[in-house]
Amino acid sequence: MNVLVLNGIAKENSGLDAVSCAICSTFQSADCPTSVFRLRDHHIAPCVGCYSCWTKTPGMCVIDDDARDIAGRFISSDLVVFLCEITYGGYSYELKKALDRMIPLISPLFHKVNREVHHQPRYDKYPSILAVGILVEPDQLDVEIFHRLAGRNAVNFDCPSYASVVLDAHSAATAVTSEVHSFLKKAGGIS
Amino acid sequence: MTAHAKAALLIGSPKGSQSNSLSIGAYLASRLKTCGIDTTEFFVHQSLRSQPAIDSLLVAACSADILIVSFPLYVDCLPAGLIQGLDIIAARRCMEPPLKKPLFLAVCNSGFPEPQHSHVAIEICRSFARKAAFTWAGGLPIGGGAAIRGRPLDRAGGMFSNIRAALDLTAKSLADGGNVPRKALTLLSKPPVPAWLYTFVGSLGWRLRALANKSHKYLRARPYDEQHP
Repeated sequence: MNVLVLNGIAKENSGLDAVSCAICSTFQSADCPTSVFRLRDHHIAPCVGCYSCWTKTPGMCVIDDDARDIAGRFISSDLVVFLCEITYGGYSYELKKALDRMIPLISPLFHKVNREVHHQPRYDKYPSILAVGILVEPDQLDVEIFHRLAGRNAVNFDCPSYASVVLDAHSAATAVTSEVHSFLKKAGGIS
Repeated sequence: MTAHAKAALLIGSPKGSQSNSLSIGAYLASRLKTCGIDTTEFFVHQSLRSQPAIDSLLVAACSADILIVSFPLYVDCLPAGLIQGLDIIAARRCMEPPLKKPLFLAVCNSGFPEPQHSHVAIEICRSFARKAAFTWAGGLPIGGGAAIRGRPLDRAGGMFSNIRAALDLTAKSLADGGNVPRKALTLLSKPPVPAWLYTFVGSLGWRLRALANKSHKYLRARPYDEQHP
């Protein structure tokens, strides 16, 4: 299983990068080739909403920066880990900036999923998603929002499976190892 | 709401003045104007490009009686730039304990006909309001926003009558210091057009845009299959 970790932790919370390292080493020790993008170190322009990636250069963003490479690695992975500090229940700016640039991976055309309209997949196979949110301060409402958001993403990225976990900032680096083990056990079917 | 009340409207779409978020936000601002409330508009993505523009945004956002964000749904939540903008506002309000708790309204439009796609994004705005000491006035999830095509909402046709009516009711309620009325949410719960028609016309629209760019043959292209076989 090829794993891509999108580390969306902000510079001011760089102490939480230990969580990314723990995720990486846990997957690698399970013989899963893992690559990590520490997003704040990459040049990723915000999506400008031009939709050229759907109607001018279908499947490819017209902005030539690191997001293009990330999109390629995203679609060729078996599992993508979204990692960030939970921000109002959602993703951090750093992670969201990268995710906004992943829309070339889906089609502009529509279809229905669970009686709702969604965009059609562009590719035959998409990765599973493991969303790991780090809670800097306890907030149960944010936890619920985070789980719901990961679920919505899984539908829109046509993921074969997904999981979301929320970890306390103080113990995240140690707790994430058992969460990843648990995920690997459940996702045993993922080749 | 007192006389001479002020509102700040943050447009969270990177498309700025061409956006449906502005169409919706500007209509709401015009309704607030009839209730005696002046609204100042800011394009968040442009404002983030310079410190003076950030400062202006902060002053307006923190001194307003009503703060409104109007934004498109991007990957199931707020566009990244708006998250950054809200982060900056929250940091300022935490740094200087606010004297008042202005009303905060979130208006989220999506390119899908069903309004429920926007519910998570609105909950995120609600969490922001709680953390940044705003009074949550509610959220308006607007389905089928893409069909507005950046036109002024009052000239965009009859299919948006429910959206206009919901905004009319919301403006009046906000001006009275209230929340989003239940009736407004009921009006928005019905997509502007049936889902089957929206998806048919929407898909046709994407094909026509690709045709205009001479890329219609490649609409289903998979460029990363070639790079990562």
